[in-house]
Amino acid sequence: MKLLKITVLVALVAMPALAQRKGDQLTGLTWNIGIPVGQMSDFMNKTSFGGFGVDFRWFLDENASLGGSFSWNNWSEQTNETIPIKNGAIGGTQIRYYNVLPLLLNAHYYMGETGQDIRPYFGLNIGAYVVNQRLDVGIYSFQNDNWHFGLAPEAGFLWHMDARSHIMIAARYNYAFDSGETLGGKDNNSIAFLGVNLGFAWTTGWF
Amino acid sequence: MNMPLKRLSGRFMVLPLVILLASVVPSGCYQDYNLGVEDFDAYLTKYVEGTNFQAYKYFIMPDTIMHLMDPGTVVDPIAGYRKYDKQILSLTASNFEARGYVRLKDTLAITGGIDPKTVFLVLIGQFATEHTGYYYDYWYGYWGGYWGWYYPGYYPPAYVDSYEYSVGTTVTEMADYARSAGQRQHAPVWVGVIAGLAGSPATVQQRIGTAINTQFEQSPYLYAGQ
Repeated sequence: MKLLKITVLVALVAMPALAQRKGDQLTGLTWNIGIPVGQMSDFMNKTSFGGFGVDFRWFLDENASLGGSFSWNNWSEQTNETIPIKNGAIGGTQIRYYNVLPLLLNAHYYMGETGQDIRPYFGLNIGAYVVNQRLDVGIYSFQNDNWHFGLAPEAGFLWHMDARSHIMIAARYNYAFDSGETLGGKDNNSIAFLGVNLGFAWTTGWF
Repeated sequence: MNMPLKRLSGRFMVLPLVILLASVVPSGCYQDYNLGVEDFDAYLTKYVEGTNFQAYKYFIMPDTIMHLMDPGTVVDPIAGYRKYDKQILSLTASNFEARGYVRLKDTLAITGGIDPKTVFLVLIGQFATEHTGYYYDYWYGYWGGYWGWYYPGYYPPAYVDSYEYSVGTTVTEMADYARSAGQRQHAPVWVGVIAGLAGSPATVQQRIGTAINTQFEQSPYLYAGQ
């Protein structure tokens, strides 16, 4: 019995040291908040609290990882703002929507050492943004679907809750380069939003 | 176990936070905007590029709204809306007058020394279109399950209910008088289109007022020269 206690104790003490070694994996689930900036905020001037993200990362060593992420942000807003169009305008109650699905590959660098309570990190995400823009005005509905190439520099931190689970907080500046045209017919259809992602991450073995 | 208190408490924080996350995400995805009939009114205004609206000083406007119908239509489907003609005509005219344009009684006034190039015509037309919409029957899952059990392997097609709605459209056209007379065809320089759900008598008058005024508000370039 004493041997068992010692074994358990050693295992628990050793667990933080096992985290984030080469080949370890991290899975993160986040609630994603999105704040439109730049041209996107002309159409959607509202923060989205409806979004989620899934992150997978494979550690190269205790300070670096490569991975991928999938996320979704949804915005909708009711407005009476007049929409300028070429040589005219459209008015009336509108419901405006954006659905954005970033499908990204990423690389991250983690500061500090394994076992630290808080591990700040920064990284770069790169990949595709699937963007659905929709405008409902009166009984009419217009929508636009485009795939964009995009980048998202990111900074955040992992706060260890125990050896294998962490609170994950990150900020991502998402920029989807021009693709297609806007609903209003403008050539520049790039979009950008600041993402604040809050959630949990589990490293290999937590379950 | 020699586990720090903070790490131990962290383990128990997971569950409530996961529940919080799971509840916040779906509730933020969709929002019910509780739209009323008036929220389905839309206003479009367009002008012909290069038009100098300050070159106009006068306008002529018939005291009739044209009802546009398919050829062969015997009964005017929007005859009931004639009772709003007076309101539409007078509010449209007063908006043009508020922008500095002077209404002429008729074309005879133009012969009295007024330059035809400073005159425009205002023509208003209306039409209605019928539409059919569909929505999924919320009870489908229940009845579909019943029939699926009753007759194994058979699944009825997705059941939908339909609803009919009528969209009324009012088109206001501003046409250059001199060019229209010269080519015997309207030469429009500005058009305003109001489209909305028909069949809500309680709010029609108020919606007409809002719609006509909005057309002018979103056309700030419409004003007479000195």
